[in-house]
Amino acid sequence: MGSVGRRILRLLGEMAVVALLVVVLTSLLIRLAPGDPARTILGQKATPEQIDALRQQLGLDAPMPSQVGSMLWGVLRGDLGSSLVDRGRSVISIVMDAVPITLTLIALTVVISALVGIALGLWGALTRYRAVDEGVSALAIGMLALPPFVLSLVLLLVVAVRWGVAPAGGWGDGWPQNLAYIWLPAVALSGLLMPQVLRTVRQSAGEIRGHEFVESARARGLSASSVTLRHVLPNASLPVITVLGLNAAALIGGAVVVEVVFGIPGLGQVLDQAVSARDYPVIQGVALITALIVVLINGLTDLAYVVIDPRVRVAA
Amino acid sequence: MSAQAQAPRMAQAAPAGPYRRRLRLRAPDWIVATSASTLLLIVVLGFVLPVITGYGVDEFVARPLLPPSSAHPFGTDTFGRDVMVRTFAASHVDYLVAILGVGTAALLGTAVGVFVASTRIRGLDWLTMRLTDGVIAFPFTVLALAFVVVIGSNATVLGLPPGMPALLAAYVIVGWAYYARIARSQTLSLRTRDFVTAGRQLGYSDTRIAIRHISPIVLATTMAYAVGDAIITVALTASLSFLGAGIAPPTPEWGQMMYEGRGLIETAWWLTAFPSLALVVSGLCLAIIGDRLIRRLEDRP
Repeated sequence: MGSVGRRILRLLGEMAVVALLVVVLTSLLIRLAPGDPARTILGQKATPEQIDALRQQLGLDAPMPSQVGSMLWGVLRGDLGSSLVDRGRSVISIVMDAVPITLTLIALTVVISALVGIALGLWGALTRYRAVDEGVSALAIGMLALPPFVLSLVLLLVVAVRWGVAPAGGWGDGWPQNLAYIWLPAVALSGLLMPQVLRTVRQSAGEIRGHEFVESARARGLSASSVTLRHVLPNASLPVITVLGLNAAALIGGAVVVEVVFGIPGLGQVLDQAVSARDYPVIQGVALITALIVVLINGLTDLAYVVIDPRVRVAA
Repeated sequence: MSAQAQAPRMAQAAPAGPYRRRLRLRAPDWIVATSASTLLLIVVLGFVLPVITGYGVDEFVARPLLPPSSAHPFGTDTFGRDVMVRTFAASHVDYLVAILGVGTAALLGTAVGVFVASTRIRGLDWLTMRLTDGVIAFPFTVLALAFVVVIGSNATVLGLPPGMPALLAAYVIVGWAYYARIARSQTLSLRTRDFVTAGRQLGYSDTRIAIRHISPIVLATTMAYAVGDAIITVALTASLSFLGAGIAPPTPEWGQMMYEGRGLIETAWWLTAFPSLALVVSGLCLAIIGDRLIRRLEDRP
C-alpha cells in the first residue's frame, strides 16, 4: 500500500477513536451536574414518581459504565431515546429533520466567506496601497468583534425590515423558495468565517508572492493578472480548507444562534425549543450529532489535505 | 487531527489560537493604551453611574420605554429602568465571566499540557490529545445550553449571579482542551532548548524542570492567548443570554438586555443598540490588547 493509503487509514482510525470519545463524553455530560439532574430538569413541582421515571429514562439509576455502554449501543442502532415533551417522537428523527437545514446554511456561509474572503485577502496582499491593506485588516478585526447574533439583528433590521429585500425571518415551503429565506442568515454567519478566511489568504498570499516559482512565472513574461490567478490564488486558497476545519464547531454554534434570530427550523430552533421545555434527551442528541459532524468535517479536511497538497503527500 | 497532520498545515497557516479566531493587527501604542483605558472606564462607570445619577441598577426609575433624553441618555427599558446604568453595570457580569472562565480554563489546560508533554507514561500524551479532539468537537453553544438545563439557570455558587455557574462550568470543561494543546506543543519545543539540557546536566529532576523552568514560559503564552479569547467568551455569554439561557434576569447582562428588547427593535431601538454597542466596543478593545500581548511573545527570541 502506498504512503497516501496508509496515511488515510491512519486518519480514519483516529477519527473513529475521537468519535468514540465524543459518544462517551456525551453520555457522561449529565453526570457532571451536581445534585440530582432529574430533579433539576423537572423542577420543584415534580412528584417522586416522575423523578424516578426520568432517572430511569436518562439511565441515571444504572451504574456509569452501563450507561455509557447503552449509549454506545443506542448510537450504533441509531436510537437516541425519545423526547420528554413530544412523547413517542424519537430524538434521532427530530434532530435529523433539522440537520440538513443547518448544513445548508453552513454550506452557503462557506461559499460566501470563501468568495469574499479570498477576494479581499488577495486585494490586501497584492495592492500597492498600504491604506487598502490596513483597511482590509481593520475590517476583518472589526467583524470579529461583532458576534453573529448582533450582526443578525442589524441585518434583520436594516436589510429585511428597512430595505425589504429579504423576508424578515421565517421559512418557505421548499427549495428553491427557501433560498430567499436563507441567504441573509448566511451573510450574518459569514461574519464569523469570512474575516478568518481573509486573514489566512492575506498572510499566505503575502508569503507566496516572495517564492521563486512566482518570480520565475513573472520572468517567463506572464502578465500580473495571470500570475495572480494561476499561481498565487491556488496556493493562497489551500489554507482556507484548514480554516474551515478549525472553525467547524464555531460555525455550528454560530448557526444555532443565527437560526433562532431568523426563525429558521434548523438545529438552532430545535435546541431553543428543547431548552425552554427542558427536554434533555433532545439537547443531548443535538450535542452528540453536532460533535460527530464536527469530527467528520475535521477528518475530511485532513483527508483533503493529504489528497490535494503534494507537499503533504510527499512528507507522508 | 493528528500532530503529524497538523505539522505541514502549520507551515502554511499561522498557528491557530484557542477558539481559533484571531487576527493580526499592527496597532500603534496609543491605540492599545486607549483600548485598555476604555475597558477600565466602562468598568468604573458601572460602579460610579448609579451613584451619580441616583438610579439603582434594578430600580424602576421612570416611565417604561422613554426614548433617550438628558435625564436618561440611553432611555428606559420595558420596566422603566435606566438603560445607561444597566449597560455599564452589565460589564461587571460579562467581564467577570470572561476572567473566571478563561483564566481557570487556561490554568488547567496549561497544567495538563505541560504534564502530558513532560511525562514518560506511555500513551498518555496520545490519548489526551485525542480527548482534546473530542472535547473541541462539541460546539460550545450547544454544550453550554445542555449544562444550563442540567445544572439549572438559577443555580448560584459563592454569591455569583444566577446562571453564571453553569456558564463557567461549560467554559472550563471545553476551554482547557485548547490551552492544553498550545501548552503541550510549546513544552515539546522548549524541552529541546539549551536551558533545559543545562538543567538536566545540573541533575534537576524532570518534575523540577517542568514546574520551575518550563511552566512560567508556557503560562505567559497561554495567558496571552487567554486575553484574546476573552472576546469570544464575552460574545458567547451574551449569545447564550440572548437565547434566554445564560445569566438569569434581573442581573443586567448585554445579551439578556438585547433579548428583552428584541421584539421592540423597531419602536424602541435604544434597548438593543446600547448593549450591542458596549459588547462590540469591549470586543474590539480586547482584540487589540490580546493581539499586542501575543505579538510581544512572538517577537521574543
